[in-house]
Parts: sequence; C-alpha cells; structure tokens
Amino acid sequence: MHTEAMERLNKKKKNKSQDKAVGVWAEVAYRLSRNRAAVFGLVIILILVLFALFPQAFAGYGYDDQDYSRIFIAPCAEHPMGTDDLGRDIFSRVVYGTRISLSVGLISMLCSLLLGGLLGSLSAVNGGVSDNVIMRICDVFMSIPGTLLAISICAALGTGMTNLIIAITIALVPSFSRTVRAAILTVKDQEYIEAARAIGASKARLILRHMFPNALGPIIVRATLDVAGGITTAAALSFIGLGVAPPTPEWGCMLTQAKQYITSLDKWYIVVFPGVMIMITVFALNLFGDGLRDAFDPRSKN
Amino acid sequence: MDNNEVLLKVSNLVVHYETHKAVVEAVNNVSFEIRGGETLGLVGETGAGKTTIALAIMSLLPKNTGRIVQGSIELGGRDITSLSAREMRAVRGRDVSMIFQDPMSALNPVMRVDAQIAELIRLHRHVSRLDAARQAQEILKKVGIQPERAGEYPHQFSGGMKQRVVIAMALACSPKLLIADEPTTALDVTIQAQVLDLIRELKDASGTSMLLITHDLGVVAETCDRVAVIYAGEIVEYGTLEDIFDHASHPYTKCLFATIPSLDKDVERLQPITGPAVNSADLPEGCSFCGRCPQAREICMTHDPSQVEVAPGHLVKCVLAEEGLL
Repeated sequence: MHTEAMERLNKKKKNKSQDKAVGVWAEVAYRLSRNRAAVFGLVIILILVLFALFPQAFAGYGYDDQDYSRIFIAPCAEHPMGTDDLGRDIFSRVVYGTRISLSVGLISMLCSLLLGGLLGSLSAVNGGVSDNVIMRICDVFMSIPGTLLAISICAALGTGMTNLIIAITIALVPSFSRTVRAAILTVKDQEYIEAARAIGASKARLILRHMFPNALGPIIVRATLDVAGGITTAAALSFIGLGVAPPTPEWGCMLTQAKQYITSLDKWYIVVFPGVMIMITVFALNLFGDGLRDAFDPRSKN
Repeated sequence: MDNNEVLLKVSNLVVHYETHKAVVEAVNNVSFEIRGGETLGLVGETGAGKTTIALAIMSLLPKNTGRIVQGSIELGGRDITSLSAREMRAVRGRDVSMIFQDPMSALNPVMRVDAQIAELIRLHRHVSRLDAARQAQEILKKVGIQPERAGEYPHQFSGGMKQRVVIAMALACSPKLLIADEPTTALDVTIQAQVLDLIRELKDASGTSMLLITHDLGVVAETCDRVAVIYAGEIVEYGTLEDIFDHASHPYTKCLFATIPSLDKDVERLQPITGPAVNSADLPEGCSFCGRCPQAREICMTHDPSQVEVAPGHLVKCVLAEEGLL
C-alpha cells in the first residue's frame, strides 16, 4: 500500500531528521523567521542600522549643510522630508541622527543588561542580606522617576553622548535588576536546578547555563523595551537641551529646534518626521523583542 | 566487584531544619552502611526523613535552614561532610549521583537532552565536546532512546522516557553510589516495572551501589538487598531483605506490612496505621512510635529504646526487643 498521505508523512520524517543537525542558534533563527511581525520589525531595524552605518550613502546632503535660499521647503522629490529653518535637508539629518539614537539606545541597554543582570541574579541567587541591600538601593533609585533621574545625572555630568549613555544606563538599571531578579526567582527553586546542582555544576554555571536561559523570556522583552526607552529618554533629554548639543542631529534634538514651529500647520514636516522616526524605531524594536522571546523558547515550537 | 568493601558509611547522622519558629529534628542518629554493588532500601512514610538523608549525602540540604548537627558520612573511607564546596562539586555526579522523584521537572526544559548529559560528562571528565556528545548518545542508547531522538527537548518526551533520560544522566559517569529518590512514584504502574528493571540492569552492569528511597514495599522486595525502615527520622528496623520481609519484628514494620492488601483475600477496607505521623518539630520523650503503636505500654511513653541486634545484622529499636520479647 502506498498512498499520497504516506509519502507526505515520509517526507515530513525526512525533514525532521534533517533539522537534527541544526544548531540551537539556527533553530532560533528559523523560529524567528516564521514570525511575520518579528521579521517585519527586524527589517526595519536592519534599515535603521544601515542608516547608522553608512549615512553618506542615503543622505543627499551633510547633516549641517545650510542653505538660506532653501528654507522651509515642504517635502518634495529633492527633499523627501523638506528642509528646516536653516535650509538643512531634514531627511539627511534624520539619517545621520539614526546613528546617535540607535547607539545611545543599544549601548545603554547593553550596559544596563550587564549591570542589572549581574545585580538581579546575585540578589536572586544569594537571597538574604545581599538581596535586601541590592533591592533596597534599587528601591531608592526607583522612587525617582526614570527621566527625572536621567535629567539630574545629565545635569550633573554635563552634555555629550557618553554622559547621556551613563545617565540612561543608571536610570534603567534598577528596574532591570528587578526584572532579572523576579525572572530568576521563578526558576531558581525548580527541580532541574537542584538536579544540575546534583551533577556538580558550579554556581556560575547554574546561573548562566540553567537559570538564565530559562528566565530569558521576560529579560529579552525588557531589554528590547529598554532600547526603546533609552531612545525616548535620550530624545527627551536632548529636547530639554541636556543631551547631545546642536548641530548634532539627534532626533530629540531636532524636535527641540522644531518646537517653535509646532503651531504653524504649514511647517508640519519639521516636527513630524523626527517624531515619526522615534515611533517607528520603538515599534520595530518591540515587535522584534516579542518575536525573539518566543523564538528562544523551545516549548513554543509549532 | 568488591562486594564486601563498605562504600558508604553513615554514622550517627543528625540533621535539623532550623527556622525562626522551630527546630525540626528531621534525622535522628541514623547509621547504616552500603557495600559495593549492594542496594539498600530506605522505607518509610512521607515526612519520615528519607529525602533529607539523601540530600545530606549529596550535601544539598537547603543552605539557610538545613544543617548536619552531628555524625559523619564516609564515602569510600573519606568523610564527605567536611569537604569544601569545590571538592563536593567534584564528588556530585561523578561518585554519587541522584535520580529525582519527578522526571517531568528534573530536566532543564530549554536544553536538548543529549546536551544535558554531555554537560555532566564534560564537568567530570576531560574530554572534548565531540567525545562528550558521542558518549551521551551511547548512554542514551543504553537506556533505550534512539539516537534520532537524543537531540530533542524534554517536553518532546513522555514521562517514562524522561525518567530514562534522568537515569542515563545519573549513570553517565558510572558513579559508585546512586541515590534513587522514589524513582517510580511519578510514573504509571506499567512504566514503573520497566524503569526499575532498567535501573537494576544498568547498576549491576557497572557495579554501582544504590540507595533506594521509597514507600512502596513491593519495589523494595524486587530491588533491595538490605532494608532500613525509618520512622520520624530514626531507623526502627534494619536488616536483610529476608529479615524484614520474613521476620519483621518492629511493631511499625508489622503495621506497614498489614497495610498492604493481599491478592488472595477479599478485603473490603485497607488496614491503616491509626493516628497521624509524629511531628518532627515536637518529638515525644519516649519512643516516637508509641502514640500509634498497637503494642505500646506505659514504659514506651518515657523510655526511648536503643537498637538491639535480634539476629546477626538484624537491628530493632523497640522496648520489646530490649526486653528480649521478640
């Protein structure tokens, strides 16, 4: 007997035995590729990364090329996003701005991931006094609103990109440690952790190989949200003049300069485009983060 | 196999769990030995301290509350209670390994099963990643898991297969001692027999000794050479399988056997042991079983009997034995 269904079954079996050879990362990539929303987010992020890496290739003008004969031009073929009050091409400035916004967001996320991950896992694994000390310090920081904290740190350190990153990292770390701690606490007392201890695994291995991967879901979501949060905080700081200084084209900084035209409806493009870029970036990061969380969980396989 | 050499020697072990409210005397003055290749069954009801003994041997007692108050645990002549954390890590998984009660939760859900076994092998043997993976495949094959399935995640296996993986993991480094903490409790009856056979087969092949923790006397009869009956953290009766099954002497052991329904008699109701198990946070002054013992007398309330050897190697901790009435 040989039916079509059997053939399909055989094929399926064959395919199944083939993906045995695939590594864990390839599997994550495969699962991610099945998630349309995540792929969409990833494509947008990749475009933004290209903007950040090779701005010259996309921008028709330099970010501070002024041309007083061409101020306030509405979006047209030559200036897709129009020009501002100094005759600078907004599209070019937006493209150059990607580099600053993305790197501020990513670097501060990575720093807070490292710091917050360390503090959070120490506090979850050790418990007792160290847990209390770390968490109470976090409480102190969390009692101050994140943006306000970043503003005061920035005000104390002065403007500039490094200080901006430091300020945002410090603002992000407390809540990040909280997330990591909570995530690890939920897996810490599982029997497989005890079993791993019973095969002679060291503490570092327990945390890195057994607890962290199992607690990854909330941490990844948090991290991508934090990139977005970092970008918006950076924009907010630049908006009130504490972030990067003009003429550097940071998106928030561009919004600051545009704020005087916010009421003139005919010059909408000056305000809208930098704002839309922030929104698109945050949106793409969130989509991607959600997809990544699902892809890292083998249990969600099909 | 060096059958007569003592592999594990637990002497006068006392373990307390200390909380701010109470001290729970989980294990009180327990001594026993396991020889090479031998299986000792640890039998008792829930809360008797069976798992605590196992955790004490692995030195995995909850670090904030559990404490070995007294006694020594010697493995191959070396007292492992005094080892440093690092030395103990080398012992765990290599010399002593443990099969946990619930295979559903004893495997890391985000690691492939062969990777989990390879991890254990690489922790204790200096082999390359590739060799470890190959050895993992081999041991998985031994427990009846085909190589095509070795690279799957735990959630893709059934309960019985997960327990096979756990067994493979426990035996991957050919430990000297295997602690099986109710290895079949979470499995259904048809799988139980298979898993027990598998454990027995593999442990016999590698000459591993075993400490089998269970409350199932049927499992004990099938698997063990010696039996320790434990009640409220004390060994009340200790002897060979024949001593315990054919010459049960302690009233508690007798009660345990009485609870088992017999196949050839038509019984309406099971015979329970009356009364609740004793609270280990508040042990009585006398014999801890006296509150539930059908043969209890006045003296049992105040006098805590010591172990008496009623026959060579057969120890009973009861007033009756002390008075030579058994």
